[in-house]
Amino acid sequence: MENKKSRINGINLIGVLVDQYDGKDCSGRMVHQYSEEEFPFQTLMEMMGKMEHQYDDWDYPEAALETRTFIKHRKENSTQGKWVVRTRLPQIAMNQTARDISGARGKFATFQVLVRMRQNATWQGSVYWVDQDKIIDFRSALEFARFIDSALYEMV
Amino acid sequence: METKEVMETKEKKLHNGTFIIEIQHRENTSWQGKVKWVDRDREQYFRSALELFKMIEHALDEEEKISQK
Repeated sequence: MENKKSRINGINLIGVLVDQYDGKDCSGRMVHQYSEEEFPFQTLMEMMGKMEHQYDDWDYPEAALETRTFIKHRKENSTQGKWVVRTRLPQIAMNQTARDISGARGKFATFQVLVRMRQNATWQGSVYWVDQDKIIDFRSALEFARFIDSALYEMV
Repeated sequence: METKEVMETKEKKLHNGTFIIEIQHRENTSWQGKVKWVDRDREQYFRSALELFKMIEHALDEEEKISQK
C-alpha cells in the first residue's frame, strides 16, 4: 500500500525524526517501512552510520563499490568462501506490507530520506523536508549532511 | 570520588586514534584523498567523505577491540 502522503517514496525510504537540536548536533530516531522499531541516534554522524549499515543489511541500494578499509585481515563475519544470501530488501518488500511512515514526526524536525543509488562510494537521492514541504536532491552523503545541518539551523 | 585508576581508564577511552587527512580532490560533491592512521602507520585512499568516515570508524572499532584484550 502506497504512502499517500509521502512526496517521495521507495522501499528503502527512511524517516529521520529529529527530536533535539542544540545548534551543533541533533538526536532523534529513525524509522522505516518494514519494522515497527525505532532506531535512536545521538549525533548526525551516528544517524548516517546507522543508515549506511541498514542499506548494507538490506543490500539495497546495492553499493557500486566496496568500501576500502585499513584492516587487512579477514573480516569478522567472513563467510569463508561460502555463498551467503543476504536478506535483500526487495524480497522483504514482496512478502511484507509496507507500513505508512509518512505520519511519523520528530519533536524538532522531520525528514524522509530516499537514497536511490550508492555510486562513487557515497549516496545519491532525495530528502523530503516535511516541516517545509521541500524536496532536495543530493549527490553525496556530504551534501546530504550539509543540507540536514543547514535545515536544522534554519529551524532554530 | 573516582579513583585515579578509573579516571585513567576513562582518559584512555577518549583517545582512540590519530588520523592525518589529506584532501586531494573535491569531485562528485565529495572529498577524495589519503588518510593516514598514525598509530598503525597505515595509509589508504578514500573516494568520498562517507568512505573516509567508515574507514576511520572501522579503525577505531579495531583499536577498541585490541585495547579490550
